[in-house]
Amino acid sequence: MVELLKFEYYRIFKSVFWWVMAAAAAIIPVLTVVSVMSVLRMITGDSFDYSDIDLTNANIRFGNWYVISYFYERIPLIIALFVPLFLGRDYKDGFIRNKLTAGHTRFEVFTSAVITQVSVTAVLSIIYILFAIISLLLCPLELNLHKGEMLVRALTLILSLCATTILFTSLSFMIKSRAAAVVLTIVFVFSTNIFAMLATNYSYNHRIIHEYGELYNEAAEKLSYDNVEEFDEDSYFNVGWYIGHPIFVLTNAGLGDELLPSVGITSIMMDEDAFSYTNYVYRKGFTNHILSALFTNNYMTYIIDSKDVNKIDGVEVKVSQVELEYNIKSVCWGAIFYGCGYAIFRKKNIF
Amino acid sequence: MDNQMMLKTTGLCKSYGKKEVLSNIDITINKGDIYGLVGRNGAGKTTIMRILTGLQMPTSGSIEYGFDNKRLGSIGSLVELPSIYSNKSAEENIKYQYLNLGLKFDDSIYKTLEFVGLHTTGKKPVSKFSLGMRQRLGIAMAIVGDPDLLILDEPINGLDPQGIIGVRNLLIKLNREKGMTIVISSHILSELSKLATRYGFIDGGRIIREATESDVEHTSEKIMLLSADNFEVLCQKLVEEGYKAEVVSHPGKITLHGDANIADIAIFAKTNGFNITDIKTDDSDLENFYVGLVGGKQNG
Repeated sequence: MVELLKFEYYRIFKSVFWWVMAAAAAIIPVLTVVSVMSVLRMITGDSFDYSDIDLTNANIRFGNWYVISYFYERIPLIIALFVPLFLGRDYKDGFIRNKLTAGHTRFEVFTSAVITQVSVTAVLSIIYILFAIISLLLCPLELNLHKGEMLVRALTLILSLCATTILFTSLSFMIKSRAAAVVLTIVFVFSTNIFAMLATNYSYNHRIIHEYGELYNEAAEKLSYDNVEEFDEDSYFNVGWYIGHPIFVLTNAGLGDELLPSVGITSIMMDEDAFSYTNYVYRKGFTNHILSALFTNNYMTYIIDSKDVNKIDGVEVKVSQVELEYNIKSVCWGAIFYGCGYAIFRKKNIF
Repeated sequence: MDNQMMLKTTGLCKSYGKKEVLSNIDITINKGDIYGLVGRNGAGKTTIMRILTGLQMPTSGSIEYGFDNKRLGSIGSLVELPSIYSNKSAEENIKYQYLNLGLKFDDSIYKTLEFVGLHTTGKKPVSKFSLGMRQRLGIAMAIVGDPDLLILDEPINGLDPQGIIGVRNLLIKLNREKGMTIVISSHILSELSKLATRYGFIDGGRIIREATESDVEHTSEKIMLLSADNFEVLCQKLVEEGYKAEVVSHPGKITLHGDANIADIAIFAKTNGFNITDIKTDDSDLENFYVGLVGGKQNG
């Protein structure tokens, strides 16, 4: 195993692709800082001179969160290319046969690839974060790591990316064609947006809806309007919910929406309380769902206020609990991807 | 050559779904052997080699090794195509094989390249190598770490005559100078006969015979190949006349087994109204032995 790890790291070190990726991981945060500053400039000032930019605390907080955590959206695309192309060469050129005929077990071959690829993802993420920190230090946004909480959250994001890397590694070992493996991993990266949308839109569970219903009916009783119907719980549990909710519960698809700051301008303008990341997060999918209902049904605004949503048990969850849930899911999925990948590779005929 | 067993397979079977490609393969390879696996396309030679090297798992059966097969690099192999990084140079590929086997980089890298005549290729990527150079690099990769057993599947496939001679000499050198035991398969039986000391004849996924070099020399029968119009009808007439003739071994031609007289055959054909366009006698012991085994069996 040690021989194979040395082999893999030597090969990565000699790979031009690796150095290009490392450079990209260093450049992206710099460009992200520039783009965030440009957006803030447009909102807060009328010139392109960043030195006199008048930033509020909310602006700075958003900028820091956004820049530091942006790697979660960019690194997957990089590893979706790197992992299958790098590992696929072993199949394409047949070097994997040398590893097996040399006497390495299939477990060692597979595990060494998983370890090295996961470490590539971790190192790329760390390079990104380091350059993000340096860029923030050098710009008017100023560096604010929120007493280290930002770095703790970055670890949750990195762990999730590591699970994704194990999936990509397994796919690369299952599929002999490099092109097919790249297509699959890229499709996975892009389709996760769809899964994330499904997952977060249907984040609410039976208990939350039931409590919301009680809140709604209680408020409705106080009104004297005849046309206010009783709350219909079942209308929330449609086909979309039956597909989206298991995705939310079982996978990391909702992680981006729950732990990352929204990209929208409204987020930048939000005040301290509404944009709190320090103690609590909202199950945004559900909150957004209720808010959109308030928008579309005017009479509902007389029945229930968006602030009432916070009274529902289970809607407001501690960040640390959400992080723990996602960390557990990352470890479990990583183990599942590893197990499936190895089970298939173990029996695979190598031609 | 002593008779220390290097490798022994017992009841080796391999199936793909319901299709059985290997059935009860029992072979024994002794130390110092150059063991030639002989068989037609699809007979199962490559599958045996893939199983011996661990690239494929047998459906059933066992393999016993007479050496420490857990040692990294104890088995060197070149199965079909060389397993080399095409975008790297020969030296880099050898370095990767050193890492693969847990060996330290030293002068022996250069010596290995020199051994196969690739020490002057510099930084030229393997993708720009000729087929012969790639095959030699493949062999160089296979011999890194001084393997106890070298498994080579069609190592001279597609080589020009000079390349064939080069690989042949290389293998003889490895066997004689380093005492390496070699398992080799090739379609070019005349070449194989110049190398192998023992043979395993395989047909339809079964070992039909194991033989030594002297078995082949003493047991082989002569064969004659005839090209003629209506060769199938002529073949039937020859069989009726008492000749051991068949058209299976060499498609489009009649294969005559045994000591048939060319003049007698020519006269017989002429008398029966057949036009013989070509007659060849084949003196290759191995080829005759093989045809005698496989062709004879199919006639029967």
